[in-house]
Amino acid sequence: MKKLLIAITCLLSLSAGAQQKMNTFYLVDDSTKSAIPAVSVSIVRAKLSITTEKDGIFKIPGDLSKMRDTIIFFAQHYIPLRLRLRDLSTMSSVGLKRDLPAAKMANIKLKKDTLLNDFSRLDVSYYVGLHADDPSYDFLQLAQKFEAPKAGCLLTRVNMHRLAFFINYYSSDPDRMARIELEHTKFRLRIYDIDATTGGPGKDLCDQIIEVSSSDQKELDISLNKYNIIIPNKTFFVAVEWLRDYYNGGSVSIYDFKTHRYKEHGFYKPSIGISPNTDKMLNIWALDFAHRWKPYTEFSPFGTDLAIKVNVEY
Amino acid sequence: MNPNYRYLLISLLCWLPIRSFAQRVYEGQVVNKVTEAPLKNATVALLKAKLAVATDDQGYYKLVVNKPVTNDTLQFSFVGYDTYLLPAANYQPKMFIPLTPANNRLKQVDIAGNKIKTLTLYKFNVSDIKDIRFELMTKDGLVRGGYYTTPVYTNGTFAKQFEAPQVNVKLNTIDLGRRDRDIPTSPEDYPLATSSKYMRFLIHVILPDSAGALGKTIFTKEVYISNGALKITIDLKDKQIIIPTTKFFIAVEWLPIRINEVIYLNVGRKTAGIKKDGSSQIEETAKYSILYQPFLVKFESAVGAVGWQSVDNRHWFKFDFRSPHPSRKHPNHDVALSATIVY
Repeated sequence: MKKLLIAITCLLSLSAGAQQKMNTFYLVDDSTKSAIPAVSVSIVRAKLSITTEKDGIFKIPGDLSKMRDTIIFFAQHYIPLRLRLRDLSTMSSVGLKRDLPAAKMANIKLKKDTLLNDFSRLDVSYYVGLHADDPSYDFLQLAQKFEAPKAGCLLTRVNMHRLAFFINYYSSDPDRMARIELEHTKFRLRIYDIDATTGGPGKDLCDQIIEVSSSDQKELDISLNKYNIIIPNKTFFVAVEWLRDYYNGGSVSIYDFKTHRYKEHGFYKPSIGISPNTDKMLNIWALDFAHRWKPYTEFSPFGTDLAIKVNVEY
Repeated sequence: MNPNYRYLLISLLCWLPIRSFAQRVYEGQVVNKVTEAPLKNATVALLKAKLAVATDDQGYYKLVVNKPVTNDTLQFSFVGYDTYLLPAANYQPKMFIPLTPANNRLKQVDIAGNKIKTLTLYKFNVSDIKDIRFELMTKDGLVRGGYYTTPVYTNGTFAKQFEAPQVNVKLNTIDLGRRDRDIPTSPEDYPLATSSKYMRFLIHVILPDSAGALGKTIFTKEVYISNGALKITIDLKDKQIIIPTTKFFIAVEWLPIRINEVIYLNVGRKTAGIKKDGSSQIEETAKYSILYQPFLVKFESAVGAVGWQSVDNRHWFKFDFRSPHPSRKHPNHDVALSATIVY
């Protein structure tokens, strides 16, 4: 909680002066009143977003009654809640209502399987959120669109490529190489049906939380068999939901050719690769701070897909 | 069946399909053995796998085989050149394949009969830019590795100074060497920078001003590379570039565009918390830098070069690669950037 407070205090210090009132809030399940972990808290106009820790507590410094921005609370399997910041001045807890996906059919045995959006990981050269003219990291999730061979497929595996380094060094023991791991990350995997109106991600298709941890692997191979995720339509989306917390935070140094100075920009791990294969259609969608899905055009026209491939059975 | 054998059999059955479906990639450049010029449209074939590709403008080939065949052979062939066979097991990443012209004598007669002279200034060989690993044994008995080449890049423009034998020479080609920002120094290491085959940059031909520094730009060309070639040849024959002075400069201007970006790892630090004594608890963390391609190649050379650098193409700073280094075989450094002229 302390780290989260440090983060949000730093973020809001631009608008709030020193020695200001600290407002503490509890994010709870509206029916059980228990704390909700990993809630995404976004302040829309200020373009700020963080993810709460397990205790569901977040703090905002300053006089909320004078603030004119909008705050959005969003957690998986809950209905997003949008409030005016000034409305929080009279509250100490915020309740979110449950929104679980509909129950699914029982486990079924399928005979065929296929790999969608295959790519060579050796050819992945670009990564979301790190490059010089895209340093804002102003998205909460990025989703990759897939076309299954038919409706009713079972999603069994997700494989993705992300940026990660590690350093080997020679230890005093000649038979042993030591390894420095710097790239720990944790994120959530989201599976969505297609929204018939927008063509982007729609309803959540998994009734459980899929949280993925990795120390320094570049290639993340995630088995989804135990989640029994049935894809109702041929089109579906696999998304990465960033946990914008202290542990995933990092910085990137970028040289500004106009001012001839280096600038530091924040980002959150994991940095997902852009597929080296180019499609005729753009297949990446981004969830912005206002919780709207939009096509992600940062790497167009050559970057049409994320470096995410999936295996489906049918 | 003995349970141990059963497990062994299962293991083998699981292992064999993985081995047989492992993808292999062969890539590199095919060059003329005598001139080291790239050979376009040479054929590169895997004989047993029955796969073949043609080389591109830079003599570059990339052959991807999804089902490698044991004891296969790579065949490099081109009309007018001796065919070169290489056991696939002997392939090394990004190899240069030198093809010998089948009739050297005829070519020599042609050149002798022609009064036009061709000269490459600051000629470098593919062996100069191909990373050569060296190993040193430390006092502890550990093997430490390294490479003779180092990357050269700027956040602006790098220019190299040339001296032609006479005025009014015609600039025919520019060759430059390229490398990745970071190349591991041992098989156990991994690169600390991403790499990309794509890059776009500007080439300028610049005349000296009255003081001998960089003056008027007489030619500019944008170069786009979409392969992994280590030696890049820029053909300017049809541009009719006549250089009116003996001294001239060739400059590479870096472009701060996304396609050129690579990500480099630095180890950063962040504050994880405050200790009871009030001091900060510091953690190491990944911190990235954005760098821009191309990465030119600095190598040890008998002839040292003179280079210039600028961030605005107006104010130039000279740096001399001719710094004496008596303990080395080659005491100087050069940057793999050459100009072929005719006169």
